[in-house]
Amino acid sequence: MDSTATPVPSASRSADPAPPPPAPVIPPPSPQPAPPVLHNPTPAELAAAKADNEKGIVHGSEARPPTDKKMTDMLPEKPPVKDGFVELGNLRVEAAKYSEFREAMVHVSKNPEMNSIIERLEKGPNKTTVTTNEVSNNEMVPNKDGSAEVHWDAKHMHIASNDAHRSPATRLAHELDHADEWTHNPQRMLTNANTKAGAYGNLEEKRVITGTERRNVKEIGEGERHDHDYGKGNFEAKGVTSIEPVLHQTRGGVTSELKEGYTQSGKLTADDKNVYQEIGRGEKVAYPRDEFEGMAGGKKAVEALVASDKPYNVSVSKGEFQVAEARSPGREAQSNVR
Amino acid sequence: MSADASTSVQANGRETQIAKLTVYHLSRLVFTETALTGAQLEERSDLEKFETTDRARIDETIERIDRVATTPTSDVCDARWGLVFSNAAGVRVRSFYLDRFGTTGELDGAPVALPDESLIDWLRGQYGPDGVLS
Repeated sequence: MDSTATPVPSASRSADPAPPPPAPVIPPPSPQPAPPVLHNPTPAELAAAKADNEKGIVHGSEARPPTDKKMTDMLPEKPPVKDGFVELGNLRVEAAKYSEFREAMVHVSKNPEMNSIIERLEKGPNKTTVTTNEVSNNEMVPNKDGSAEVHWDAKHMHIASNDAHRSPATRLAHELDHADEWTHNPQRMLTNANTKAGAYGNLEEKRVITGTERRNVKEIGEGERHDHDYGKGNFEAKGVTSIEPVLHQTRGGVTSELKEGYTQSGKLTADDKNVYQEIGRGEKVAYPRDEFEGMAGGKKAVEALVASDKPYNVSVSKGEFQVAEARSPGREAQSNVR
Repeated sequence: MSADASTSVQANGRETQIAKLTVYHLSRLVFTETALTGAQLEERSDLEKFETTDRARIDETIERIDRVATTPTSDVCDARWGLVFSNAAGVRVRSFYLDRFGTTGELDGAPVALPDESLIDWLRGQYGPDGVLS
């Protein structure tokens, strides 16, 4: 179907007098303009960004100008699909996950500035393409031609180092903010990306995390993180807008994962409810803590895990839970988990 | 540091000869939603990857690392560069990851701070392009 075609609602209404819903207005894609002319940030530009950051000023972290457009109008439920993508002006979304994308955006639009971001991406001078994965790969990759690629995992939530829980929807909004910056302020983005910003790594991450993301999580009741760290990791979420991790509980519980005689190496952490185990690719499995503590040796082991962030060898032998600090800390121990 | 000394390191209590260096590099303008660990960096498909068994090149790289006075830090390294040294059997014996600024790293699993950008400047010159989008 032509991406510029506007769906026509059915004219049949003999049995139902209700008027048909208005046809969604989908802006046509704009022609791709010339790539932006950019330069490596000068020492003076970097010094100015650094100085402003030290004064608490992060340029671009303020809310976008309001729009009267609503998310549900901009993102129709059943838009036309072309070559596997829904094309909403210059915003392209992988059709297979469009319904999740829409659900996520409608959710975060409780912060009205998200409406502005979507409108700015649709009407922006360059294309932004959203593709999905299930391996916790959430990122924005800017292209030299001015276009942007957003990679989104609709399946996994994140728990930050301060225990802030953030949904897949919030993670998508974070990346779309980067894409909006690349689309409308690429030179500022280059300067910010090349300016250190403490726990946030660089100023572009700080701009997003302390700006739109913080306002989003406040509106939708999620956790507020204070760094850019990997934190406690990625967890399968109960839904696109959920901050609750799915607990992997197989029929045998913990012992079905930690099979008799099999040693699992890697970092384990725990909170009041769960024990978390790294399973590679940045993912973790959450086990009910009481299951661990119900096993012989389990309670003592969990206490040790909570007290340390070092990698551990974990095993189950003759029904007894055993844990010992891994002899080779760091990278080598982590690699055993994969 | 002599070549023989630099390529022979203590790993897991045993002296091991380094035979291969693998350099990983990811553009500093890939904006991940959380910082990349060294393991996550290596798993990416969009990396620049360079492998060498050239003894002189390996020696010089180790010497450059050893020349930097690293100090322990609690900062997390958002890895954009990876230097992995392996022995002849392919077993990794040393690893060093650096963030995009070259001032925070992870040396053999331990987070470290670097005093300046001399190492990453050298790495860019040796192993990577240095343009607006690199």
